[in-house]
Amino acid sequence: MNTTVKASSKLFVGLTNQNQVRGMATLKDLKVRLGTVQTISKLTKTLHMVASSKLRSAEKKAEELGAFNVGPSKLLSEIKSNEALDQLEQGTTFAEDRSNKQLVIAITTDTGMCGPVNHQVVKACKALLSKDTEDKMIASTTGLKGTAPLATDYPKKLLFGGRDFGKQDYSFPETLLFLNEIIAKIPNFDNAVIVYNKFKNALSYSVDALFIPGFNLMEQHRDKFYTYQTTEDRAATMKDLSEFYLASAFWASLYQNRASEMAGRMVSMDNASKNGESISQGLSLQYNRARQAMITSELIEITSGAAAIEDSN
Amino acid sequence: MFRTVFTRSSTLLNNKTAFVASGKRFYADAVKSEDLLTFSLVLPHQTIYKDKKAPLITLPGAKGVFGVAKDHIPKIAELKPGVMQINHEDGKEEKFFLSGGFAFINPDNTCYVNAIEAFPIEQLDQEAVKKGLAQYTQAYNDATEETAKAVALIGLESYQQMAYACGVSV
Repeated sequence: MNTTVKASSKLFVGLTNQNQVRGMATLKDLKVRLGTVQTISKLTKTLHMVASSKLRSAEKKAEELGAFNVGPSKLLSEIKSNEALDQLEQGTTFAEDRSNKQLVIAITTDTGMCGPVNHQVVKACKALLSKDTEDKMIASTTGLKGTAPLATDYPKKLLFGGRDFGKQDYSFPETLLFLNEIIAKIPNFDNAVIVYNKFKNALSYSVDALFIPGFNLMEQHRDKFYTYQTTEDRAATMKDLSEFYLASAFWASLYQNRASEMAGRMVSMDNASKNGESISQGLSLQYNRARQAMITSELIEITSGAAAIEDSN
Repeated sequence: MFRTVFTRSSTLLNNKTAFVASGKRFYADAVKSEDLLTFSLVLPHQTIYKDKKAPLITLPGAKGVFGVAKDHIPKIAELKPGVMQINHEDGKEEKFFLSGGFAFINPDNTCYVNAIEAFPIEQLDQEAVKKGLAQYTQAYNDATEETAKAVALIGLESYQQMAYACGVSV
């Protein structure tokens, strides 16, 4: 279906090109273009203003709500790869059946116009997925902007994309529902990787991949928790903890990404409105020149007409 | 000379007010800041306390209520719905109702309490608690399916704890 649409759109472009008047753009064309550019500039300027006002609260939230992840990450952030699992011999018994699956969760936004924020995440995700030759990874995204590019390149590896997720503001129950959907499909993941934009300041952010160990991996790193006492049912606590850490890390990353998104939008919309301004300046110059040329030629026509009448008299 | 010293110290001992004063000072020294636990109470959408010092906090663990003071054994504990009590430095007590979560007690005398929801217990509505308790008791008795029964039990236990917290007789 896509090819037919493409073909027909090509045909359409060809047709319009044929009909186009050659030579200098007319005064009306220029005026229409000038109007469009000015409207777009207005839009980008508004977006810039909205983003910069939202940035402050997003920044504050990213900082404040990040506290939710401090406790768990202090405990678990030391585990950075699942080598411990891969080094084990065949036939080792695990605390639970090993799924051999890794979750890749990309945090992207629903709306665009925010510079390279989503592009960077998608690029990092694709880099991760391209290394995966044994078909171990399962990707899922929040936001529309990540779903489409991942679905075209890795349709089999994409589990699902959360559309309209956190459209207003992220809520924790909604986040849990989203993660529950993933965990219901792959209940005993080896590890999860959350790809998001880590917020630094209003002008800079960078892609970060957060490593979340699954239950089996945590059991392999048991020595790290020897000092910690747990309840009698240690395995159940650790299983719950692995899922809890996934949720808390995901929650903190969501807000980091939201702040980065606002920063990205602010910068890119500022650039866009500057560009729009310079284009509209150029266009209005061209428009005025064309208008003046028209007036001059009309004047010449009138005066020469008058001169011709005088001459004939 | 010895005599004077001895008499002086004995008068000090006999002087009751001086003795009480020094005793008080001793008590104040006991709650020095290095003898306190550093704890954080965080919710997903709010940070209630961050790196706050307190002599003692009491948490509703899944396997029973336990208190945490300085030099508590490092622990990872799941929390169930229940009351968390904070004994502040100034002797005041504050009680929160937690909906459950995790508590991490680290070897460096820090404690992170990650709850999903927390409210001061004064904010619990007794009428609503009574209503909820009746509703979930009914649901638990009616439930035949295993999952429905488990869900009802969770609700029932939460409301029982709430009733206990705000003094509604069960």
